[in-house]
Amino acid sequence: MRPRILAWTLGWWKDAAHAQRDADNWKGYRAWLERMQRCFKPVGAFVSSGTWSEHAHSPIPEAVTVNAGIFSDKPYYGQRDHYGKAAFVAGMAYALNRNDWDLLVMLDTDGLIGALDIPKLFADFQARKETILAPLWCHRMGGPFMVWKREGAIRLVHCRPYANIAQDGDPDLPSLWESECAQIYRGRWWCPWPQFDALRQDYGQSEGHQDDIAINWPALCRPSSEAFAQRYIQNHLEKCITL
Amino acid sequence: MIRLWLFAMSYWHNQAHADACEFGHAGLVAWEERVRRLFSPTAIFLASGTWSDPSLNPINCPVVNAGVTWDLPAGGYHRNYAKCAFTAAMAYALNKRDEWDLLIHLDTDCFLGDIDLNWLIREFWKRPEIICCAGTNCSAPSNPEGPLTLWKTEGASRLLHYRQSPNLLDADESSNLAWDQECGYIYRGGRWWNPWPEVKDVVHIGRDDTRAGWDEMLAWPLVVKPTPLFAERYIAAHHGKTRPFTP
Repeated sequence: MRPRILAWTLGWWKDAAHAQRDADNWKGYRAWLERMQRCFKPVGAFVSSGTWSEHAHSPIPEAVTVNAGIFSDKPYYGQRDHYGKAAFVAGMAYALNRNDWDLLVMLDTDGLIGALDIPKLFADFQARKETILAPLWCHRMGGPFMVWKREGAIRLVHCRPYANIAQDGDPDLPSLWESECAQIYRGRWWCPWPQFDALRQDYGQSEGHQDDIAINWPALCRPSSEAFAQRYIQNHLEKCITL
Repeated sequence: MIRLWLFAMSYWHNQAHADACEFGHAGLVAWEERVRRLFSPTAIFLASGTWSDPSLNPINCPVVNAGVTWDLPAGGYHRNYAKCAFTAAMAYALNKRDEWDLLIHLDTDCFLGDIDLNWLIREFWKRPEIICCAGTNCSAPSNPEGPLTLWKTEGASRLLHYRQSPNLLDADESSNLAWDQECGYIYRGGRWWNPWPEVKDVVHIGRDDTRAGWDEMLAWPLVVKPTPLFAERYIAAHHGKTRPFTP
């Protein structure tokens, strides 16, 4: 039976104008939702914000806006004020309060899906014992495309060893988010593409991240150029086998 | 107008279990009657640390589920489903933080005595602290812990995003941080207001046969986990003394 998908992404907007950024291109929320609907036929979709994003300003009002509710009084800093982690917790808590899904799928708004056989990928994942599917990033778990079983989502809310924010003279949080995820999911993480050390082209620009190699990646974010993004989209639009 | 949201933790495995949560002094029906009469909340909800089927809810309010699989009996460190419920409740409330001003947790088996809620709530509202509750001597003196807890939005945000210890641990993991100790850390530095510093602990786990300490405990401003007999006595002794909040 086809798994029921709940789709989500991280996002935030400070006002109506900010919410409309990228509205005319593939990195916008509308384009993201269309990608998710085409690839995954989700039972629902939501955008999770680490602070507070007014739903009335959402570019995709048919998707739920989930807010973590942190008062954003400082800029993002990965080891002290990590609004992204707050958005992950809020998103997982929201999803776990629903029981109408089997797999939770996250794709960054600037993430693209490649020539994947999604039904086979998900069937393989569901047959395996691991609880999260995610690519590599810098020898750790990373995005832009992640899939959770319910047990995996539970761990991301309830097995967190570190805070999302550090204050009051606290030392820096001791871990990168990706390292924390590796700790949370030790022995529970499946990377179907271990041959790729990342699926984001801004990472190091090392060998293996050139366009002629990245064009074959199963997913992509932060492409090297807008021209390459369009080439990736055109190359994979018809090749992706959707749910 | 101060808008209050009230919640309690609860859980049920099935219809029979849900039915068992319904009645009695510590049942959900009595809890709902108490909180509606005393707090005039704009909304109430129940938070479950696992999964409690909302269709079996004995009272008419949302059920917020943490979604955790119940795989082992509850234990303070490795399977703290209550902490899961708090996490779920805070996430739910913070996602609607524009609909309330104060979030209040009242245990279903908590009974209020000689408290002026109108004064208490308004006093907390104008003070700088972000959490208000009694203290416990569970792990150490002077740590915050229920059974009646009030949060401003900043306080709720800290309980979700400033956590220092997991709710669930694997068998090969360990932690020495009890819930009240963690709350003490989260709300350190003048963020906690205890209106009853003279009361060291409001948990009544007494015995009906000896009735040891009952005279003192009957004078407490609030009590939690009483024996049924003590609950009867406490309720009778404080009948009409709790002054309700008027929005």
